[in-house]
Amino acid sequence: MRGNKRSLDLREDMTFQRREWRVQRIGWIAAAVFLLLGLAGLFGNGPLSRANAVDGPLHVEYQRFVHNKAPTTLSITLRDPQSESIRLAIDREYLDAVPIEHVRPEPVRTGSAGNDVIFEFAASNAADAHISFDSSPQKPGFAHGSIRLQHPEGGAAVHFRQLVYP
Amino acid sequence: MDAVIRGAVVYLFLLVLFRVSGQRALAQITTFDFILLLIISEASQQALIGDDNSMMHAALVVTTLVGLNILFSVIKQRSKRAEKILEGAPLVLVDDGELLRERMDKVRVDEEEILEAARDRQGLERLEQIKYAVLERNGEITVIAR
Repeated sequence: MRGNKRSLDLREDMTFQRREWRVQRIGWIAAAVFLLLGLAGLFGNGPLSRANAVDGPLHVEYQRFVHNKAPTTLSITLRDPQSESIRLAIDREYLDAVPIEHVRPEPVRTGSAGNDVIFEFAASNAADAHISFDSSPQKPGFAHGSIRLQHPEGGAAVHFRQLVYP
Repeated sequence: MDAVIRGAVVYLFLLVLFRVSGQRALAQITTFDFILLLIISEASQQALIGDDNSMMHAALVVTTLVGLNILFSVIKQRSKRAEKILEGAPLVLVDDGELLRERMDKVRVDEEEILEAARDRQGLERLEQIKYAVLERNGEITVIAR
């Protein structure tokens, strides 16, 4: 460069400048990757985040990746409950991390049994039952949940894991 | 604890993001840059405050931000290298009347923008009247007439 002949008192460092441009390009790529993964659902709602846990008639749809203090939903479907009432047990540790704010339909009864919280719902014999738990995680990190269907003729249990982003 | 961590994370995230996006990201060149600034501040405000609207939380967050600003200004004062990394360096775009095209491409500045700065700051009419044009660290273009 002709930098030495310049009358302008300005010290340039082209080595640094070129390195900066290179780092910036890498940063752009990183930002693009971040956005694409975000769209895919790695950081919240999206295809990568939607997941199912199934055991026999018990079918739980949940989000793998959720945000702290942001609403999320557990959708539970029971195929052909063959009973007038449905009893679901959810472990208390999970409910401490991800407290439930609304349950649809309203449970007929709720109770506590050891390390579980029991929700009892009225059901019709013939149709599938759909139950939604709207919850909102309260602490970042992994939350391990287990939902058990208590039924006189053998129950079912599903386990799942959610990552709560801060 | 929460407030200080939130403040520091948002500060550092924005620092890295704007350094990566280049000098001109928030230079408020166009009206839209200004709107972008408003939207970004609104979005990061949520992350800073969370769901705690108390005075104490705000005091901690603001002190964290100002404190980091002071800390970085001290570091920049002591180390020229740190200053370059944190703030970038000015870049000559017109050298003794000659447009340095490769550099202009890299920093995404075109001839029109240099002419605009020349009109705005120096009342110059033509490119030949420009001796030097420099992209400053704040994203503005300064012009020195012949």
